[in-house]
Amino acid sequence: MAPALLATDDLQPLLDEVTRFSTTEMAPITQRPDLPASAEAISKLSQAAYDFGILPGDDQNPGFALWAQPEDANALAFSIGALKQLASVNAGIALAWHRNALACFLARSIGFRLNETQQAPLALTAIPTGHHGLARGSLARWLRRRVTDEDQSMLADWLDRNTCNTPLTAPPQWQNLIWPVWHEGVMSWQLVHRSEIAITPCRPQHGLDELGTWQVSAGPANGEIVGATQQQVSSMLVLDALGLLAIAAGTNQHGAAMAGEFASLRRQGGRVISQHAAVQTMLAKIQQARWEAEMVLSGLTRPLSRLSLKELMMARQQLHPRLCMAANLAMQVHGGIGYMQDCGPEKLLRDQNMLRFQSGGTREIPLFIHAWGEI
Amino acid sequence: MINRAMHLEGHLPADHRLAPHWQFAALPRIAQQITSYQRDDLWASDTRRLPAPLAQLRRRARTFAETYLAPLSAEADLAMHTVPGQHPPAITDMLKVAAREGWLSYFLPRPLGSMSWKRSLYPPVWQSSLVVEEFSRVCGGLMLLLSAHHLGCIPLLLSGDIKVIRRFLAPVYRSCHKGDPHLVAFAITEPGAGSDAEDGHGARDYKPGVVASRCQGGWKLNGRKCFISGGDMARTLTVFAALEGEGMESWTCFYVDAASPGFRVARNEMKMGMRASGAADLEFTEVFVPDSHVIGGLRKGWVLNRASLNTSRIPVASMAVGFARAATEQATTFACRYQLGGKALIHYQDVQQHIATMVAETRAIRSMVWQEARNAWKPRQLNASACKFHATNRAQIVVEMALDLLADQGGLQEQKIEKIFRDVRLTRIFEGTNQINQLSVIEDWQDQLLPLCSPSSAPIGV
Repeated sequence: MAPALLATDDLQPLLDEVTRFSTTEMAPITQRPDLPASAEAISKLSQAAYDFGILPGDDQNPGFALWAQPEDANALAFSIGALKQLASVNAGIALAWHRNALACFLARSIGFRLNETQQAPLALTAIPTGHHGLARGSLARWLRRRVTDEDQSMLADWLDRNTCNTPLTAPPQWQNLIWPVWHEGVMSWQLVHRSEIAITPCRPQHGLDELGTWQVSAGPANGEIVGATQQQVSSMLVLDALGLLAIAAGTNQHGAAMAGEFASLRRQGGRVISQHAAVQTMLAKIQQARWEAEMVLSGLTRPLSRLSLKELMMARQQLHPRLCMAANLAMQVHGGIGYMQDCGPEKLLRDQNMLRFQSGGTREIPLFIHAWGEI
Repeated sequence: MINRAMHLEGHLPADHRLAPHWQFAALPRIAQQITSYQRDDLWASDTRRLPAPLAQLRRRARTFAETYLAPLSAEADLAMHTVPGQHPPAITDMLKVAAREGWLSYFLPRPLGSMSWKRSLYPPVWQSSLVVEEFSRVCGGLMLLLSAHHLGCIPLLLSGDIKVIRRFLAPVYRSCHKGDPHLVAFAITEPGAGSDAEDGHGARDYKPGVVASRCQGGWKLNGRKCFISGGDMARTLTVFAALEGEGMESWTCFYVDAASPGFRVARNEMKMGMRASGAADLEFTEVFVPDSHVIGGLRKGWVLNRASLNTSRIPVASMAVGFARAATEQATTFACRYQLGGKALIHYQDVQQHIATMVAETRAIRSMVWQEARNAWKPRQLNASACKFHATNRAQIVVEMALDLLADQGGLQEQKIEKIFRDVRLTRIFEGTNQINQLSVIEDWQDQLLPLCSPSSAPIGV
């Protein structure tokens, strides 16, 4: 058994370093909510994150970068904590880094050999799911090896990258993509270069202003394709859901802090608004959502092999609406100013909504859970 | 053999012997008179149920919205933040058409306004609610651009002073009829007073930010107003200010010409949604207002403000109906066209349930709005506020359901629902936050509630 990558005692000091990094390096380029950081600034920041070790690099020596050692509970806790911290400063960049790290994890697990260019920060990204939703119950049954003919045909359509467009939300620098595809009747992985992908740029999307959205499709003759195992797909989806939840929780931390601070300063009705029960109730609900997210994430901080995708899906189903509600309340506490782009809560709400839509969204999760069966 | 094109999965085709639609045809004629399996479009059948003049108004509003507002909607939303006073020519042209067609003057009957005499039998709030729903459905920003003007005019109407109406409102409407849109803005909110400008309890302790000082022949206004919808395009404004040395109880409505020296539109806010309409920051520096431009009398501004809000809150609830309807229509269209697993999403039972819930929610809030609006000759605070906060809260839920249905596609601007979310979000904040509106219900109700605190009091009706 390999020794633990991270000692428990080292976890908090490392997270403190991430806090320092996000405060000194990330915050200055993201402080204006109405002015997204430029692609150039994000490139520089990502290089700094790569040098610092948050972003994975050399696949022979993954270190403590995001999702580098998911079988190590402390390393997993570090990834969750780091994404929370980064997202409390900027959710868009945190998502870009999460997907880059997830793609690197996948490449390592699958055996794709990445060249130096592909390992550059933000060069690689991942799309974890098909063109819409979660393939209803079919994905869950495939993962549980109970797939029917009907499921096969659903999955063939869901992962038909050739004729169906799939939305990709990523930083503009992305050059390579890993995604599950349906190839010759089996689920497979495809690593494909941007030049081999048919790309339709989309208009500015709802949130995560630092990133862009493209509709992408690619034929089976492009890039590399290897067969996928249930364990690989499940691991990817587990880590993706963990990342999304950590980012959503971090975004809520930011909203909670803003709402609390504003409520302690703004006066209405002859006193600061935090003294009004209407506002206290909203602040308490924001705190409660934060507590729920912390509880759930803390319960999910286990080695990857001990995490069930069903649990992660249930967590997404439970937490994303709660955290969106909290973001709405943070805006509501601010009143009119909270609706304005240069204030902050407006962007947090849009970002929180975007996280809810990622990776199939949440509406089909009950079908996924039912199809999964008992844990 | 059932053909998929003839029915949705889980349902029988209408000509199946077990389908109620088919069996309905076999019912006796009298039975057919008291049962229904019509397949009419829901909007069309609701419209037919309205009194004829209002049905005609609803159809006209929809046609105008689809002809003139819909083509500008996406562009207006994505346009760069504009400097106050600079507007795309297409929006100016649309305003001219709207003015000529009477959409800026329908709160009064002809010849002063554009309301037909047949429509004058019905409350203007009901008429406004019908129009606002149609406009919101295609574009929240352009709807607000056209609707904020009416709010600006309402204090002139509610002053109950015929001279005010003839001297100030009639020229506004006349100008509009000629195709020269004269917009009016309603200015109450101040940097230090959002809710305090809308709630008596809060106003009691608020130090007014815009103050009117006496001068020869009139008043001089000093201070700032913020978040004023349409304030950047208004030619005149109904501005609420306290008299110098007095509190909010001295609030007075002043009719201010935007060309007055000392008046300045400092900036337009960068809003999340409803971006086609400016939310302006207004500065008043020694702005002279003659005595003749005091609306409703000195120290009558507070009641005029509250009455204006009571009049506007039901139409705000109707905005929410328009957004919920737009989201439901977009999501339903998406479900019928988007293919997953070899068939359109609408064939899946859970999608059908999702859409049915959205339809029911939308129709429930419309029923509430129409119920209140049809009786709103004298809009009551309790009814207007309850309608506003409930409809806007529920509408946002409907829009979120639409986004959830689109899942990965939900954030795409091209799918139009994310814009509806950004638009509907404002309805929970402006015209009093929904929290303030909840308290307004109780404020208005307290004379009935206080006796109820005594055990011997008569029961209360809700």
